[in-house]
Amino acid sequence: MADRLLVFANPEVQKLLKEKFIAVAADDWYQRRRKDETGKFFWKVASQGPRDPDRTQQGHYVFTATGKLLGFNNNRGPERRLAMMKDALKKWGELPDSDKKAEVPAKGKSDERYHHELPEGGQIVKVYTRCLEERDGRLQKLAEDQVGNQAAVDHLWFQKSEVEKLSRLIAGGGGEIPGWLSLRIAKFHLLDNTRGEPRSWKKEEIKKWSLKVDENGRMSGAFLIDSADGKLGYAGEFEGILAITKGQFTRFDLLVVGKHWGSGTYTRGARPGKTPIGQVFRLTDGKEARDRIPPQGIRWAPGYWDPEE
Amino acid sequence: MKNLIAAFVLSFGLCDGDEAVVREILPSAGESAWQQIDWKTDLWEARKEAAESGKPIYLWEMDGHPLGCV
Repeated sequence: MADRLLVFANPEVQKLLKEKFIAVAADDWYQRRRKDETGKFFWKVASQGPRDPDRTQQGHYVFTATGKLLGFNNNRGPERRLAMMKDALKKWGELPDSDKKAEVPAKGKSDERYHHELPEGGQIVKVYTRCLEERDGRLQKLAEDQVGNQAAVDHLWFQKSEVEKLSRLIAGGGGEIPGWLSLRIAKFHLLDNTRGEPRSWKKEEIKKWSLKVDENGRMSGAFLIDSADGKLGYAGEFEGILAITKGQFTRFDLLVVGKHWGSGTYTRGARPGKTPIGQVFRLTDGKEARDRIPPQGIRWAPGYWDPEE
Repeated sequence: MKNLIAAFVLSFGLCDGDEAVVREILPSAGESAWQQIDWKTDLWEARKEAAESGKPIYLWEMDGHPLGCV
């Protein structure tokens, strides 16, 4: 997340990337595992870098379409990144034309265990999360120098048939949001992901839960999620509205405000005690590639689509 | 349940203050500046485009997708 602000908002980095490179971003958890042509190509590149092949391969790579590595680093800050990019461009300039242009074969079938796409007719809701604090009598984002002050983003996916089920629920006068959706939201999306990758919640940690929709599509509710030892948790309230026309969301706005507590293995540095956090769920049309990034919680897809299992 | 929740959640006025809180949570323009780069999300497609355009590939690879997970 820090890279987004520290490096990729830098005007010189942006100019270089736009003019001199083809920029691509990927989730290493999938990429290093996939057994398909994309995975083979990635390993051809990564194996030229400094990473232990048995561990994460995350970092920033520059390479040719033939797979020749020209640069790697994993440092934060625009200066060192720019130096790596410029050095890689110098090496690029010294390459023969045969290394610069290449015939790329068809991709072939993707390894479905490590490649997820939104099902046909499905819809995407972006989930923004931010740590908050009460100042001047109202909730505000943290000061810029505080850890966790940036908004985190994830995506909530729906299948077409699921939207149709919600449509029937509203048409029938409303009621409790069905378990498959409540659990999906609770386990995979009511998370403090502002400092890294949090673990998903276990079903038994959801101590209290109510999320209703009425006949006008208004959503409301409250929840309490708490780990067995009480060291990690989240309690909050929902307020929102959804609208469905011809089996498709035309609106999905949900605000969650509450208090979160505790740090996880990959989310260290939480503020002490129970502190305010807010989340906004908002429908997107998914036209931008960044809006079609799979939900973090879908790594094991059956557990995401049917979290009762 | 209300008593239990009330023990943890202050009264934030989810009606009156909704829009103000939503604005605080959503990313600011500065936080969204990285989106001005045309990030691809498919390495193979990026490879094809690089081969056709004669440019090198810049790969941002993280545990958890860099464009949407945290």
